[in-house]
Amino acid sequence: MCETAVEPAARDAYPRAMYALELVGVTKRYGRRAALDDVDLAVEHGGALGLLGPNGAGKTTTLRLLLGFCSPSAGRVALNGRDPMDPDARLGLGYLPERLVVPGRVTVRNFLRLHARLAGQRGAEADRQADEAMERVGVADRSGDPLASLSKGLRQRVGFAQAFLGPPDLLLLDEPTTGLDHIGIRDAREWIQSARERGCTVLVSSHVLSEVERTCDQVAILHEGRIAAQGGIDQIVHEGESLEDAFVRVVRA
Amino acid sequence: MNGLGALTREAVLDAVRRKLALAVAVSCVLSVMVLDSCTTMMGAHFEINGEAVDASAFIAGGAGALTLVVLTLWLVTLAGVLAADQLRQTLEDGTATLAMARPVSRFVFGLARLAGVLAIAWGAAVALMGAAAFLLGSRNGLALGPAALAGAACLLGSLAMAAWAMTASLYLPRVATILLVFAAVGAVALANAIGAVTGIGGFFGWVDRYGPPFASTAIVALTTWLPQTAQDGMRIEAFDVWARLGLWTAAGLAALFVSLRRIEIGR
Repeated sequence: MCETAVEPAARDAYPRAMYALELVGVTKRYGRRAALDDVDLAVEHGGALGLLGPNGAGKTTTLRLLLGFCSPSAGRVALNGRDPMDPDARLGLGYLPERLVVPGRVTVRNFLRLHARLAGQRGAEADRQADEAMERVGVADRSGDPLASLSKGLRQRVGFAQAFLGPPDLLLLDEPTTGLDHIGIRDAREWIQSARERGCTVLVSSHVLSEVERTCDQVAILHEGRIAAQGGIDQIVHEGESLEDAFVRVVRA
Repeated sequence: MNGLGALTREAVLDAVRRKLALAVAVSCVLSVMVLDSCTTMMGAHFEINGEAVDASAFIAGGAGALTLVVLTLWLVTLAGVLAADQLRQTLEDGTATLAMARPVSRFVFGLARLAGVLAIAWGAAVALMGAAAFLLGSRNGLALGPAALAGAACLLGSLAMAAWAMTASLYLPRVATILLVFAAVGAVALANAIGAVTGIGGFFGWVDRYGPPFASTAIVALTTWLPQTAQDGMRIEAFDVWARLGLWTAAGLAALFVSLRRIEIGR
């Protein structure tokens, strides 16, 4: 999406770890309830992992841990080998939340310009990237409109635009196709694919199994806070099965 | 400190978009109009036992000090009320979640939101305290030095209150934080006012001795405006109240940043 990487020196200041993201023996408790229980998960640089699971399985908790929004009760979480609570670990991270809830009075342009700056761009380069991102996701004609005035689908497109600012080395996408129409879903798939071709690591948390099947090469199925199955799609899906069949089989087992 | 400038600018713009800055500006204009009428004094001449007494300076000094102390308390309250919303709002509307997914530390994010509050609160303080000092100085001949010192007390008090209110807003509902701000400033004002002239015990005595001395610092700064008899009866130690306000400010900032570091975001 945005081809010019800025501040490479800042990102290159840290050695490349074996995995782009990693959870080792992670448990996360809320009171007495364990949202995640002894989870091991790792994605290599350039890989794409689909995180699947029924509601309450622990997908959002996994993303929150990876973003440094909370700490694990036990175990270790790492982004490129670093603790996500450390801001530098989030250099080159793009995140799309399930619902882009942002202050409605902000215009699309100002919202993206702010995020381009927070992603490490400066001045004119930040503005250029924001303009380019608006153009790419098809919201350039609404650039001066407040976010509150946009439809759910357009808002999700703006969400994609902000996630791709930087540009990112690692994308965390939480239900990325929520609110998008068929054309939007196809566009989103192309944006993710183009990021992958650039070498970006992708983690998609989704209920839409067909999307995961098309955008990821690995899947992890979370059930009741534990990893029920993990591996390449061809390893998890048996012959004659769809991913949906495999998902239901694993969860019911 | 990646993003501090951009986030601070956004915090101020956020207050402008939500018309908070406009509301504060309008209230400042109204306050200046009230000050304009309150600082006009034609003179106070009495005759005691057949002897003419000019009490103009006596009354102007007392009224001027009272005006600046009340303004200080109002501005400290304003900072607290603004701070009660500034950080909490971002945690509710998703701004914090998206910003902190970037390489932005929680410290920088909190600092930017605090700076956004102070830009408005301190702007109002400079405008109001400045206008009051100018009117009192030009009309009643009161020295500007003590007013400047009271202004400094107001700025430091606003910072302390904003930091504590922001910290409280991480744990309490918005309305509860605002009520807490009003209760704290009210209790401190009452305790400081009584404690300035007489010894007090109980809860208010404790508040006067150990609480944030929002009013005491302003009173002690303006002592030279007061008549000699009032100065002689003053029970405030300047070093004690300034050091205590400094400590409350430092503790407020520490509490804010420790709390911000510990909270779980986006749950």
